[in-house]
Amino acid sequence: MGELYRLMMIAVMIFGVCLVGCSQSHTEYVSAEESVSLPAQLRPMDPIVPDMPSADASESHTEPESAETVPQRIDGKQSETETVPAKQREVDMDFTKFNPNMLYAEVYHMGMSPEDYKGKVIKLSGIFVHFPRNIDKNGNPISDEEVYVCIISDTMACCATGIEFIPEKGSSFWTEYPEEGSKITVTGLCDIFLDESGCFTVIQLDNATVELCD
Amino acid sequence: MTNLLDTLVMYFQYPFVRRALIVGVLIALCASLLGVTLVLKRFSFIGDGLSHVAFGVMCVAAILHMTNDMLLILPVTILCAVFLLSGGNKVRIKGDAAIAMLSVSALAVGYLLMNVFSASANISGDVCTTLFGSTSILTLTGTQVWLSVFLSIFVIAIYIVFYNKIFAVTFDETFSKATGLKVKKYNLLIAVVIAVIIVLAMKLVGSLLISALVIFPALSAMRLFKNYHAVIICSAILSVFCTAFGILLAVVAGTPVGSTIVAVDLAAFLLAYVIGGFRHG
Repeated sequence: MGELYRLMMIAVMIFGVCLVGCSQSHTEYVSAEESVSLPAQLRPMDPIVPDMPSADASESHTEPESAETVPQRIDGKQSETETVPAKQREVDMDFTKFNPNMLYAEVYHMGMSPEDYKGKVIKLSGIFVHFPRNIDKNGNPISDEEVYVCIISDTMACCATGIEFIPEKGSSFWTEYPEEGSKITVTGLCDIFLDESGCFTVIQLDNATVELCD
Repeated sequence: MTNLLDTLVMYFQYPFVRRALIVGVLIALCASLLGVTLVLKRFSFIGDGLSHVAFGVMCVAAILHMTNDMLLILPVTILCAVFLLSGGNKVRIKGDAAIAMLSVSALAVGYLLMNVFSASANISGDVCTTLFGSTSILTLTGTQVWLSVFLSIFVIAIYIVFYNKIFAVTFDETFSKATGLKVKKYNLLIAVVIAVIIVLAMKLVGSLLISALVIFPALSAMRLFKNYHAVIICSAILSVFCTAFGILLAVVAGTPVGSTIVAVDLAAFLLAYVIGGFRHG
């Protein structure tokens, strides 16, 4: 009986190791040391977005100039994701059905393993937040450019993460966006690149459509 | 019911859910094996004490911006476990007093240091998820998964290999010593293994709820069976089942994982208590 028990336990261990191996077979994870940074939404960056001539001086955001270009990345390279607006593509990952804890965990993993999400159309819901892209040491905005973020928190709202999105060109969002704190649904193409320091990976949703939730 | 299954299938497409389930089950299995030993040796609260120490060390690791906090947490927790369990009669502060002293000191100092030298924008979130394990099992990195798996295999292998010795030391230390068994050495081994389990279990249920993972399966099994062998097997099966069910329930219902697992363990204990009452009169 003792021997049988020991054999059973060893078999359980081997089975467990095999299961873990299988679960990782079709995804490759970038190690934390290689790619992880703070979630990109909390790290203002400097994309090279052409300034739009604006008749209204009180407007606080800019829109990409050309119909054919997407907002350029701070490293000057063209986004590797497609330029077709997200609403014309099928959603690859719909996170609107997730409960808050699972959504938080999923967005956390986007930061941990960003390569798994690159080029995919992602749809998720959260709270809308915006802040100036460039600020001086006193916290005052330097330019009119803003960062738009969809914040996700777990059920107790004690843990929060989020993702930056760039609204699609020509969208009414550029001229009239929701109040801060509104619940929104964002659908966009996941793009990943290094920030200006070359040390941190930035994740954002490009060509995003934004809908206000009821 | 169909909706529930569809939801479960949807979540299971994501690797982090599968990883959480596998790691959670392995940790629960390890905790249940040593849980019987701890309950019989009247050291049920050692899990709480060591987990608070681990929390304090985790705070220090966060302040030091350590990439892999396990490098600090594991050795310090092992040292504390050895101090608490292998001190014998030579220590001045014994048993529950020593556990209580170490436990609250580590918790308070850790949280204080984290506030004074804050290393994160979201301290309350970091603390909440570490103390209660609300989403920590769902946010494991690949490295953490492999480390957890290997440590779990280590613990289970140690238990299998030294099963008879652990059994002897658990029930009658004096007799074991008299028969020539190196009781100190095996107490030290138990202390090290318990420390490893506690550090692993923090990821599953959080620091404050670890005792439940260690105690409930053992107590439930003792309520149903009187034979040590049967208690061990029953404790392992109960722990694995309750943890798996708790994780799946938390994933589907959106509840904190740690609390859900403990609630399921509690329900299993109450059921075992009732069944045990009928069986043994």
